[in-house]
Amino acid sequence: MKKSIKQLVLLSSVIAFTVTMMSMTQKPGEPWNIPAKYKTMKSTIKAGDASINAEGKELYNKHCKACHGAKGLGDGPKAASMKTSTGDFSSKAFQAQTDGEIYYQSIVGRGEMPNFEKKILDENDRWAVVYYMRNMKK
Amino acid sequence: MKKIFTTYGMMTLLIASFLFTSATLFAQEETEATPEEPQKERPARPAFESGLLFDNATSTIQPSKTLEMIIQHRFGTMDNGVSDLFGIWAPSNIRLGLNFSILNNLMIGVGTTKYNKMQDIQIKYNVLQQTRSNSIPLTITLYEVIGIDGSADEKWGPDYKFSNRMSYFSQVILSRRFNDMFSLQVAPSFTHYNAHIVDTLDHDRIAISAAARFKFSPQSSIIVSGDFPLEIQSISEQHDVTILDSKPNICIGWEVSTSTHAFHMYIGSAQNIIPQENIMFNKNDFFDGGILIGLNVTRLWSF
Amino acid sequence: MTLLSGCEYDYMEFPEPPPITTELKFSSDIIPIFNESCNMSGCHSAGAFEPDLSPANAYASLNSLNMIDTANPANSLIYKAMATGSMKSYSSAVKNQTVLTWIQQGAKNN
Repeated sequence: MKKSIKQLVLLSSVIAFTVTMMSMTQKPGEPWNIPAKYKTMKSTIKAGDASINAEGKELYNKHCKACHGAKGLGDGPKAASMKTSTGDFSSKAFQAQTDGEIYYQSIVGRGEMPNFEKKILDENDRWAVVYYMRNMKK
Repeated sequence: MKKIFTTYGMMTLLIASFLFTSATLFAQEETEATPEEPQKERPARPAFESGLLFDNATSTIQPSKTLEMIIQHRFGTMDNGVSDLFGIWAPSNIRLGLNFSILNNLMIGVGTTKYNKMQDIQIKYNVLQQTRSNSIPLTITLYEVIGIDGSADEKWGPDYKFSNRMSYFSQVILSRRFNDMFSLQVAPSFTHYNAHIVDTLDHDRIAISAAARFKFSPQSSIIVSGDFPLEIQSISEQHDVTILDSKPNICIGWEVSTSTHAFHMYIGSAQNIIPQENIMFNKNDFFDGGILIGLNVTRLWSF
Repeated sequence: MTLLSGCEYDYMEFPEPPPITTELKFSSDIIPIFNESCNMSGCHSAGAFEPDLSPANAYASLNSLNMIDTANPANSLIYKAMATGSMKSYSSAVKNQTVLTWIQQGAKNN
């Protein structure tokens, strides 16, 4: 009786370990399918406007930091529970996108990335978040 | 001449007049980018993160088609000390509610509360919204709570009829976001109960509430609020001197708000949750051991 | 705003119920009151707030907490709590009178 219990415990811990390991491998996201109008969309505020920075940071901290991390490295506390990797905003690939593409990915989202059109209603505020993410480049 | 307003009421009226006069003084407080073309008026950021303010409401309404689930829990008062772990083991009150924003400025809600099995229907409507350019310095909101007491028919005796259960709480909320760190709200209200089971209570009561928020981090703030029932002889039905036996509800607490949740943890002095119940029946004196721990949790779903 | 259901200003009246002339039994007259209004989960059920008014424990609990005063029935703590005290809103004139009459009849465990 004791022996089979030991075997059962060993087997279940092996299974648990494998499952945990498997779930920890996140897939990077598929390439985004961004509508043309967003690709060329222009910001309603000027880049680098100091007064906007504070607001962008506040909104980022409220809505984005939990998954994407304080510096946008994809290391927020909720990131591990996602199926898709939460990306790295400091990377060249991310920063090479146009403002409008970042806007679309952040505000409209897809899949596990929520839609924030109802959460950040003001257009200027949305661009403030985009510019705050721009400042995360290495 | 008998004074009409309590000292608390006077204090809050003073805060209200401060609010109006300082609206112009703080005209330049809002920081924003200077655009090249003239912009149409944009609504200011909300004065409070959540539409719920301890037991009352703020002027904040979530964007349209947002569903908000609310859980409110009030422990017992702390006056028994350690014997009931400062109220945590004592009889407690709880409310579950759902609010839905039909439009950006109109919200309806329903809820159910343990004490007196109160069911409530709530309506909140933003008449005027503060703008970033300060052309409109205040947000003015109308808030109504219709309460239906769910106790057994016998509570109202042999003459019971359904309308005995109804109570109404109507409030005008005036709020202003001064800057990212400080918001203030003043709200006079009128409470009406259709029926009382003791004849020493007035059916109508006027109260005034005030609340202030100090936001010290992107997600946390300290909120202080008070609801003060007023003793107004001219609307009283009592022929002798009206004894105002309901005590103010004073709350001090901490709010944490995230993208989808708001949490309130606070010390307050009223347990009934529904505003009209607090104004008519609250007997806990904040300064005499009648304080209790309260928790609120809200969760938002956007559709 | 306060338009719905009229603006009424009622004060409810509670006439005295007629006196009870029969002999009341604890098990068939008093326990049902506790079952209806008192011993639900979270209130005066077994293991919750005192007194324990569950059918099995009610008589013992009321006596051990000295809530029944046969010498001065109207002074009994159980009656005072129901009639004028903190449990007033859960009770009714008929229930108060039933409990009082049972105490006046000797508060027997019958």
